[in-house]
Amino acid sequence: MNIAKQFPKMLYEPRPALDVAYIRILLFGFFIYKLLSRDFPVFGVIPKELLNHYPHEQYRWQAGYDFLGLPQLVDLASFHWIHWAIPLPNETTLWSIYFAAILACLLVVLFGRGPRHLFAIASYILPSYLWGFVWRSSNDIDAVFMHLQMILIYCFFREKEALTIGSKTPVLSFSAQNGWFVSMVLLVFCTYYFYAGLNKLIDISPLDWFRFDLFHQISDGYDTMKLGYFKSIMPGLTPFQDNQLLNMICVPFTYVLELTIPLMFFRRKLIPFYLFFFEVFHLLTWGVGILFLGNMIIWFSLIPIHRFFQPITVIWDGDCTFCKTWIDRCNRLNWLGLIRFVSSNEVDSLPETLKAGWNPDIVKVAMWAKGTGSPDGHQGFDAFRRMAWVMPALWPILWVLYIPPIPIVGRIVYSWVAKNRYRFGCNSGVCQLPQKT
Amino acid sequence: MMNIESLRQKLNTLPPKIKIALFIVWYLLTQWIEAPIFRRVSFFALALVVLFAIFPTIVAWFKKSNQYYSRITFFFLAVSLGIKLIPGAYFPPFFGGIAGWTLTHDSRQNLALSGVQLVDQDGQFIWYSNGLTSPINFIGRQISKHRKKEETAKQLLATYFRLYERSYPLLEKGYYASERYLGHLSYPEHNPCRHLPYQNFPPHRIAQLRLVRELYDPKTLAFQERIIEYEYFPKTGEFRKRGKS
Repeated sequence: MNIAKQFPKMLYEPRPALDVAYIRILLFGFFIYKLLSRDFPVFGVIPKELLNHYPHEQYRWQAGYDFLGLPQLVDLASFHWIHWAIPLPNETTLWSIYFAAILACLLVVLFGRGPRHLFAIASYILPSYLWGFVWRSSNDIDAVFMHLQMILIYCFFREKEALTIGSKTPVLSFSAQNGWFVSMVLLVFCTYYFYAGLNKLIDISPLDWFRFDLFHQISDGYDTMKLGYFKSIMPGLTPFQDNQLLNMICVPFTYVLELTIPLMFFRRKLIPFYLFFFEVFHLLTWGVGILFLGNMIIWFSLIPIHRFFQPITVIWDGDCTFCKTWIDRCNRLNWLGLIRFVSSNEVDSLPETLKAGWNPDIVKVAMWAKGTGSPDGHQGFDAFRRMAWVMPALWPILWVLYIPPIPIVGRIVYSWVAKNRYRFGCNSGVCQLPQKT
Repeated sequence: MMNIESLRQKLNTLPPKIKIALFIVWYLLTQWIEAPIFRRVSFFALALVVLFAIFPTIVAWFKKSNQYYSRITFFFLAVSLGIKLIPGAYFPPFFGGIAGWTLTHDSRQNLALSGVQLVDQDGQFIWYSNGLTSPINFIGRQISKHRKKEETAKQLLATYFRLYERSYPLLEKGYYASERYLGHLSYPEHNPCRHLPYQNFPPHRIAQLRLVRELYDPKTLAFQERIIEYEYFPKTGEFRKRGKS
């Protein structure tokens, strides 16, 4: 893979305006949710001398973590530099800033970036300012970093937005610029987890990867709860307590995932795989009393939501009677009318844009599906999965079709069935096995 | 003096096998370094060499990418990578990534609970949760910093009591202050905390706040020892440094 060539191509892979709108609503909705669940005005009550505990004070310098989290830098980044001139706000002022931050996020959800990107910029500055109190007291240091990076990128986005009040932008209009925004969000994930993975190579040795007793800590956590301590540990992990084998498997596996996550940028089909495992990983860290709920929520921004609404073209083998039976069944579930089934015998009548990427050889082994405007088509099991997005009857199982190792099994089974169609009632000549010579 | 450009060319023309071998040697050597800070410095030095070698390619890419969005991408990656590479760098919302650390469990050690307890007039006590200081989540970090000086330890316990009083109208109903709007559907703390029966501990009945460490048998969970470090009596404002009890 030539990264230098592949990177710009993937950076601008076209995406519809709907995907950008979805990320916007999820991202700013997340901030509204988190703001409504935090008592920021409390910082007006806590004396400055108790509050200040900048990141550089937290660890010994030899540990190498955040020792440049100096007051000046943290204040600059959090807009607390204003307090170099004026005193820290009281509780009443903080209530005003708190509601202004919620309002700014709400305005972005409803109206998009706003005139001169004002809503977006306010939605970056105000939450950064409020979280500045958290950072200057060395608390959940990086819990909203990915989200704030995404807002920062959003501030620079300047295309027409969909799903805002008064917007007439078609939700399914694909563009390279929309693709850029989605790719940048993806880059935020890649850098965040990849850097964490690099640290597992730099700060510790690979042998140390086997010295993280996650499942023993879960036992300790449950014990502390029994003793009336305030800590809350994820319920339901009792069967896995003290499991040394799981320690040896889960922890190194997660580190490998962190190190390989840039692959997700270049091979977008890997996104569901990483999404699934990082959701599981973050759930498990709740077992040691650390919950990255924000990361868990924002991972869902990578769902290509447009697929629920995008018309698709499915090309199937028109000579295969077995396929015809199944296509008829699927057609009965085409309640939204978004699937256009085209037999391979009629494919010539299709406009080029709808069949770009298809070739007659594909149909011999699998059906093929492509969303209108999407750059890539899907084949076999993936085509069936693509159909499931627009078949409401299959929505309950849609997510299951992405959970590892179901896609691998699905592709194998599909391929086997396709090769053995004659066994399943296909009486056409095309389904016969090639004769041995 | 060796020409910089020729040095760069030499680096770039090294066969891939040699590059990989050099990387492995470098990595093995860093394994002898104990303190992570020096490992990070070593990684930074390696990254500088790589960046030096590919610098013309980066400049060419930047010049070629005259598109607005390509420039933004370039700056984003430059800032993000720069902060990753500089050891200990931290500039929200950018930082060097979650650190590599180990967490080992020793089943022979006592199970220790530490923090602040609220004690009522009858001697009943309840742990002071990080939900009471939200959005300050790592209550332990604050405690370990301020326990070092008696004066700030007193101020800390007095402030905790004040926060408790402030939150109590909601605590009485079974909610933390952070659950004012969304109730139990609120976004949990970074270190999730339980709802303890604070309604049984109204502020007017709180006799003292104490900073303690309790030890339990790891197998039977039997109580073994309570080490009280500080006691603060909110009604009188009295503050005491203590030993074991």
